[in-house]
Amino acid sequence: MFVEVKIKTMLYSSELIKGTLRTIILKLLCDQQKMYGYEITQTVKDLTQGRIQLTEGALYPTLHAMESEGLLTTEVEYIGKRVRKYYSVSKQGKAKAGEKINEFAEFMETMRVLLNLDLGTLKVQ
Amino acid sequence: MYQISSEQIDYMLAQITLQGISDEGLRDSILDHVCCLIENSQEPIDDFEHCFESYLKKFYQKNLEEIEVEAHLLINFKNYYQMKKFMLLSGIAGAGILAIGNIFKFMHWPGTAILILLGILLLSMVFIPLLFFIKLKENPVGTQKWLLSLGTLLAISFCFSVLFKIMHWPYANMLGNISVFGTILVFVPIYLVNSFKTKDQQTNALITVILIVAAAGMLYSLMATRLSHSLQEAPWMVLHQNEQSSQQFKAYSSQIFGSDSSQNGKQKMAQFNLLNKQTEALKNYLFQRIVKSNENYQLEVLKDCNPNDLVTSVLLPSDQSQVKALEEFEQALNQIYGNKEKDVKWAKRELFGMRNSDIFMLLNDIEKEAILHLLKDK
Repeated sequence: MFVEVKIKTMLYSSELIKGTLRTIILKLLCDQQKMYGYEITQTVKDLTQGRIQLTEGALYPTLHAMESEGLLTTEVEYIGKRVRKYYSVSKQGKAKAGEKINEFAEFMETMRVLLNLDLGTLKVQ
Repeated sequence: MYQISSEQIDYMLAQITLQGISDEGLRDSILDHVCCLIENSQEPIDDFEHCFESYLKKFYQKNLEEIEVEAHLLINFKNYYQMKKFMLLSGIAGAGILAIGNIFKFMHWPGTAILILLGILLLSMVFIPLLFFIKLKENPVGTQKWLLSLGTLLAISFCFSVLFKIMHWPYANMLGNISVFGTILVFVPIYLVNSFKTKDQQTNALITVILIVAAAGMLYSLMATRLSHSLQEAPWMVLHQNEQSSQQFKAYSSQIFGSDSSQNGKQKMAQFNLLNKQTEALKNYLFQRIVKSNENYQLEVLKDCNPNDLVTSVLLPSDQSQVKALEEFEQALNQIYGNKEKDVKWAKRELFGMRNSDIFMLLNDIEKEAILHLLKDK
């Protein structure tokens, strides 16, 4: 996977967020109705103040796979000669989004306990 | 905002296709994404083509095609990464266990057979089939699919031939020959023709073929290796000496028994004659099985056989005539020892798995020991 996350100047290993890309996509599309690829990368960048930047090499294969799994639906818009593909969440995708977010929240809570982290100050106690 | 012309769209689309993206949906998405990046660029664009290339480069690590490969894998092979990991683990475990098994073999430590068996089974039944399925999912086209299947079958067949050989199971050589000749006569030509269609693969294909042919050549050289002539002769020279002294010993013993005309002496002479007859009969029987002819026992003829061939190949428990010959030999021994001394059944057990040259010497020694027992009272 070519997932690359940049937080400030630090480059985190893909292992750290492996599996969260789908959660991010599903949550964004649940909130924004429909989005196209570039828009998704820009929204993630804006929302995280540039701390998380999704790479195209990871985004498009995942969008493609989620579409084929029936989690996303697509519609196309022609802009002159080029085609823009808008993605939105299907009914199945909405259920999956809830599942994924809950799973991730539980995971964060477990990690907080496990690593003895104070998420407010992000300091190891 | 930069305005992209219709010609520039055509140019970008052609470039994206040329760089390996054949899926229309992906192609459109990538094109739209690059267009968005160019349109929203903060810097002035003087050289459009250069600008397009620099944006496109950010999409991949090695080449653009990897996006399509990744999408294909995610769609068709959900467990691709787990399978790949498992394949590598099974390969490492198989090769590792096999290597450890070989060290055990060299050191004559127990557990060798199970380690080698496990190693070969892991490689042939887990690693190679998984490698086949993973490669199959990477969408080989036309001949590549056939090559992949053929290569997998040949590799499994080779693994089994090695396993069968070390386990002394039948058809090992047949399997080995099928896999090696199948590789060289069928796989290699198809592989070469297929690879030479693409210029980039020519050198790699040639190197692979050279390695395959060289490995097969070395394997056959190793298999054809025999002991040096003098080393091969040595066991027969020892047997020759043993045979001569045995015959001399029997001649002297015969004279001693013959000189005793008492009842006891006559009985011992009869026992000696019976033992001599049965020993020679057993040697004759073994000789005929080894040289596969009906000739009588001759040391000169036996010299042409490989001394390292095991007698197990001619002595099988199911062979009734062998059991009969051994039983008669045992009866002759029992008469001498009077069924009181050590159980002569050991002879039957020890004869299995001996080298051709050693078995005759063992028979001579057993006979000599029994004659000495008879001579005790003399």
